[in-house]
Formats: sequence, structure tokens, C-alpha cells
Amino acid sequence: MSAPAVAPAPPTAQGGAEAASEAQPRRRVGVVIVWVAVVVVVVFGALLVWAAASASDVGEHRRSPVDPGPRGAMALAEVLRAQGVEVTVTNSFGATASALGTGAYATLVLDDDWWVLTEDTAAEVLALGRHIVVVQPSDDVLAGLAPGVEYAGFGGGSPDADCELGPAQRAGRIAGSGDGYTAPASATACYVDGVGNAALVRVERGVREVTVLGTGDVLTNERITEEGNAALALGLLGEHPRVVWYQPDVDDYALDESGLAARQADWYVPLIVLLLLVGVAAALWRGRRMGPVVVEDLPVEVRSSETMEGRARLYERGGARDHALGTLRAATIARLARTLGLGPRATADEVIAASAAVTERDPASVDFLLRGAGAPNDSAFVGLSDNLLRLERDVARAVRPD
Amino acid sequence: MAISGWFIAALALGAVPVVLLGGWPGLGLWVALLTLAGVVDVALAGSPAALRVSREVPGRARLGEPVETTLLVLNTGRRTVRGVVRDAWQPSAGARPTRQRVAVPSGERRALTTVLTPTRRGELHAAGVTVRAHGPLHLVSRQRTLRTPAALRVLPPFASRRHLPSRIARLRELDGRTSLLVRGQGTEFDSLREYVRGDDVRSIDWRATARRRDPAGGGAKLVVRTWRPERDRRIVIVIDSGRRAAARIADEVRLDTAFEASLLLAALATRAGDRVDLAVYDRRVRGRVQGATGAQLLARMVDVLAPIEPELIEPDWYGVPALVRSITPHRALVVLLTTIEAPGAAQPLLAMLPELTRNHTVVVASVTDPDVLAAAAERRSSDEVYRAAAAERALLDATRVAAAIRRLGGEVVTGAPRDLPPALADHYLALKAAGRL
Repeated sequence: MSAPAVAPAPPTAQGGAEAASEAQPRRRVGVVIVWVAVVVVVVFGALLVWAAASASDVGEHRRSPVDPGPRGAMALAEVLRAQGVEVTVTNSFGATASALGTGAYATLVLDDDWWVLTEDTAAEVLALGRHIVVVQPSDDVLAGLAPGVEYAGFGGGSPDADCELGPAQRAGRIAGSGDGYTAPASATACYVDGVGNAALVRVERGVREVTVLGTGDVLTNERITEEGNAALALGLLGEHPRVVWYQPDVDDYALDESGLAARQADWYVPLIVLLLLVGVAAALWRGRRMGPVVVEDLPVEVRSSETMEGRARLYERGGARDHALGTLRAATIARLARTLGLGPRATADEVIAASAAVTERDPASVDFLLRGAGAPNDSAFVGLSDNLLRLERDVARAVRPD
Repeated sequence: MAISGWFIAALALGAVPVVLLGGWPGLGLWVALLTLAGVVDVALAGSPAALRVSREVPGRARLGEPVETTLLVLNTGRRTVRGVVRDAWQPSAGARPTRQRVAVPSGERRALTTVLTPTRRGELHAAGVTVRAHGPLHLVSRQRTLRTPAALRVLPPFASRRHLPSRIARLRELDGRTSLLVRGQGTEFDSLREYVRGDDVRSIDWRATARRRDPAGGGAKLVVRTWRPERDRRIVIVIDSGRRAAARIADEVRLDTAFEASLLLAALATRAGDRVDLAVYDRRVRGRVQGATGAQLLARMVDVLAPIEPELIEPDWYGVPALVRSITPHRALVVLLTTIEAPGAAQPLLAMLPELTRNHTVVVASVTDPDVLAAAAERRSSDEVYRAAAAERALLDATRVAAAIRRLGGEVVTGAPRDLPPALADHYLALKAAGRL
């Protein structure tokens, strides 16, 4: 029997040559189809990945001044520019430092929405500017920029300004939610709620002033038109003729102690690409077969005791103890008849009488063993089977010539 | 086209220029350089398509014995072909080595030796010859599979021939060489010879003795008649290649056991001067050996039997009497090598049997499973007792079928795979001795 997928071997050399010349073009077409399919799959997959990437907001900052979406803050940046404020958007420490220059007459907006900066790096950012607005900072940034101001929980602060800070006074009520802070006595706190948590805190640190804005919603395109949000945002960010809007990317996590960004070597990406190429080439190297796989017509082979095993499991699952016992008894009777030399046509009565006589057992007990009641449970069944074997052994020993 | 490990290593070495030359320029330069080297390498490599390959394969081999095959590679191209050759055979051919290095200069020919150690009987086929020719830089190779069909017929092992010498010795006792003094059915007159002490006095031929009376007046020379078994009897072996022959017992397929048994029987019978014909049959005749004698008979038998595999179909027993008739019109010993199992499955065999036993002596030979016998005696747990019951059921069934065959005039020979061939040979000898052929 040959497997159906395997074509029978050509009987003659000529037949083989014909088959080969026939098979060749068909295989070529198959190869072309495979490659076309691979290309289609790759292109389709790339499109899919691109679409998914463009649809998701992973990798984009919140409140980004270049994002026109509801989460972005492009409206504020554009209004600032229209008012004559020079807005520079940066994503790295180095660019921020060079954009700020000396730091005078410039507002540094630090919106570390990815929580990239550590306490140390935040302290370095502090050294860059004179006027710093920090939007919803992490605890580390807060400790580095405005020591004394503590995070007090989300949703702190009230919507009413109620303070002496100019922009807040002018803005009045604001809308939106954000973080609340506890401020030291020396600081100016605005939007303070009943338990003393403020949404806007200004701390003076020598020549520098640090303003912590907890309500980040104020800046977003979505909420900026509500209540006094626009007034507060423009007031805070438009105090000076230049604004450097710094949203640190993950690379700034590696600011080392000297203050220099760990500059990525220019061979870094090419090396990765080279490694990828090596990987692909290695796959091609190992994946190339030395010629086609040779198929073998395997013959059909059946395990012979399968029927027996199957029947045994059927007996067991069906609890066919009586049937199985009947078979065992019949086999024992047949073997006893053979051992006793009674011939194939001997009746069970003759066999019972003969074996009882030979083994000096009670004929009734032998009769009961060979034709009596069935086994009520499996252990009795095993016991009966053992008794049958014992009887056979005894008879065999009794008739053996000594 | 295939790239080598050297190509990978060279590509990985590109890390040095990438770092030293600063990124993309280094990468671009290296990839361009390597591509150029690869193109040059391919262009300079010898063309595998210009190779002409041919095989020298012996037609026949016995199972388990290594066979040398030769692959001749002729280069008709202009450049030397250096590379690796894979001489592909189907897996059960056990080809070694599978890869060989070769360098064939232009216009020359090289011979590669592949040793096959077949693990299966039957027709083994060679697949193509794949040549991977690399260039001088060992970076990129050209690959091509060349088709050269070839086949090797692996014959059944005939392991039971070790039983042959003892059976032939027994045959000699029956045969004319040890002449019989007792006349029986199926014996024929052999010769007259002088009486020696110990001969049966009843075999003295008085008439011949009287004729031989010594004219010189010496003592009377008694003459006895001797007899020998009849020769030139016919034996028809029918092997069932149906679904039950596919079963594997004690690591041997039933069909292979049947082949062994028939080979031993044929070897013995042809030595005894009988004529042996063979047919492998399920629903149609899969193989047939007729009219061969002596050494030629065994050679033709193994040749015919080698490629036959069991078919997963129920054999058509009603066709067997006609098959036997087509082989010989005379009385013959018909040996059916099949399986005796359940009474239900044996029904067609039993229904057909009287038609055969009317004209022929019929022996049904069947392989028994030692596992079943072992399972019938193994009764420690309840699982095993159920198994034992199932085994006893199978044995009882086989016994019933055997009894039915005997009732219908046939004879039954059973045995484990190792025991069946000698058992069948012994049965043949017994029949011959009894003059029942």
C-alpha cells in the first residue's frame, strides 16, 4: 500500500525522464506562486502594521504643542505665537539647553508626561532656566524642582483662584481635573481646596521661580476654551517673550551625572541592521535544502494484538465480568480436556469428573468453579481466575508421569 | 543558489567597518563589497547543470546486506566543478554517506561510492542527485538537482534457510538414497538389491530370488525390493496478501513470515523432486511463479515476492479454486498461507475449502501471536484478567476455525513467526513420508 500523496515510481528509465520533464515547469509555476504569495503577505502585513501604528497614540506625548488633536496643546502654542511669543518645542535635554541659552526672558515649560526624568536630572533641568512651569510633575521631578511642595493626590484643588498670583487672579475660575499639592508657607498657592491642597503653586528659589501646575487639562485643545482656562494658560506661559516647551523623550532618562546626554553612537542602528541581515542570511543558509525531500512509500502495518486489547477494554468498560469469566472457564475446560487426554469432543461433565478424580478434589467444588456462579466484583473475578489456573496446574501435575 | 556559512561569517565581520567607518557608510560599503564578491563567486563557480550523472546499481540485494552503488559524474562544462554531491535514495535504503565532496575538472569523470544498507524489502528508488558547486571564494554556490532514476530490488532475507540442512537430511532418509523396505501408499518401486542382515524378511522378493539363483551352485542369494517415495508431486503455495497479512507479530509482518515459510517449503520440495508453483493473491494475483525448478525456483520466488506489500482489502477466497485449477489440473498439495482468526471472518475460506479438498490435499498455515498466548497466562490484576479473557476468546476462536478446517478435510499448521516455517516444512515431510502427496 502506498500513501495516496505519493505518486508511483516510474517503471522504466524512459518513463522517469518523461515524468521529470513534465514535473519541472509545474514546479517552476509553484515556486513563482509561493514567492508572489510571500510578497503579498509581506506588503499586506507592513500596511497593517503602519495603519495600526498611525491609529494608536502610543509614542505620542499628551499635551503636545504640535498635536492638533483633543489631547494636544497646539491651540495654546499657536495663540502664543500669534501674540508674538516665540515657542520652541524640544524633546531632548541638549536641544532644550541650546534653545534656552542663558535662560533670561524665557519660560521653560517642563511637561514630563512620560515620567522620564529622575530627581537628579530634574535638578539639572532646573539649572537651565529662570522661569519654569512644571505641568503635572512626577514625585521625582517635584522633589528636584520644587522641594517642599508635596503631591497630595489626584483631584485636589478648587476651581476658584483665590490667590495673589497674577495669571490666576486674571483667569478666575478654571475647569478640569489634575493633581493637587501641599505647599510650604513660603510658596504662593492658588486654587486651594478645603483641606489646603493647591492646584497651582509658585515657589521662589533664589533667582529662579518654579510654577507647578497640577491641572494639566487647562492646556489641552479640548478644554482650553472652558471657563478661564485660556487666560490661565496664556498668563502662565506668556509672561516672557520666549517659551521653550520641553517634553522629554525616553532618551533623556540616560542623562548622566556630568549632565551630558548619553549620545547614541552613530553606528548603533547600522550595527543592528547588520545583525538583522546576518540573521536573515543565516536563515537562508540553513534553510536551503540539498535537493528535494525524498518520500518513502510506507507499507501498512497493523499491530496484531490490537483486536485483543480492544476487546479487553470493552469487557472492562462494560463490566462484562460474567462473559469474560465464561470465556476463561471455556478455555480452562478445553485445556483440561487436552491435558487429561479426553479428546476434543469431551463434555464438560466428563472433564469435571476426570479432573476431580485426578486431583482428589470434591467434584461439586470443581463443578462450582467451572460452571458455578459469576463473580460479584472484580476482586472475586481475579480470585476465580486464580482458582482456575490453580486447578489447571494441579491437573497437569497429577497427570505428569513421574 | 545557496549561500555558505563563510558568507554569514563574512557578513558578520561587517561589524568592524560599520563601527570604524561610522554607521551607514560602513554598512553600505560592506554589503556592496560582499554582493560583488558573491556575484563574482557565482560567475566563477562551475556549472552543475553541465554535469552528466549516471548510476551503476546492482539489480538485486538481500535485505540487511550492504550494497555498493556507484555514481559517475561527468563534467561537460568548461570549468571545474567543486562542491558537494548528495546522492539521494529513499530513507529505508540506508544510504551512506549522504554528502560527498567532489571536484570534477572539465571533461573528466569521477566515481562516487554510496553504500546502501536496506532496512526494508521491496523496490527501493533513487531520487535525484543534487550538486552544490561553490565558487573559488566559497561564499555562494550554484545548486542543481539532476534526475537519474535507479532502483534496487531488495529481496526477502530467507532467514529460515538455516532450517534447510536438517530438513534435507530428513528428506534423504525418505528419499531413494535411504530406500524404504516397506511399501506404502505414495511410494514407488525403486530397485532390487541383495539381502543384508537386518532387512525385513517380508520385503524379500522370492520371484526375483529364484531368478537370481546362482548357477555355480553356491548358496541362494536373497533379493529384496526397495521402495522410495513418489517424486514429481505438485505443490501449490497460495499466499494471502489481504488485510490480515499486514499485521505485525513479534516484529515481523505476517506476510513476511508467509514468505519465509513458502521459501523454506519450496527449497525443500524442489530438493525432493517435487514441482512447486506459487501465487500471491488477495482479490487478484499479485505475484506468480510457475514452472521453475531447482535453484532457479528460489531465485524467481524471491524476485517476485520482493516488491509485494499487504493490501488493505478482504481476500476473495472464492477465486482460489479457480486459481489452483489454472496452475495445475492434477492433484496437488495446496498450501494456503493465511490467518486463522474469528469464525465470522473465516466464513468465506471455510465455504470455499470443500471445493479444494475434493481434489487436493490442503494445508492451511497460520501465524499465531505469542503475545496473545502470554496475555492469556498473565492474570495478576483485574485489568490483566480482562485481557486474559480477551486473549482466551481469540485462542478459542482460532481453535474453532482450525477444527472446522479439519472437519472439511484440510489440515492446519500454526506457529509463532519463528516456528511456522520449520513447522510447515516438517508437516510437508510428514505428508511425504505418509505418501499423502
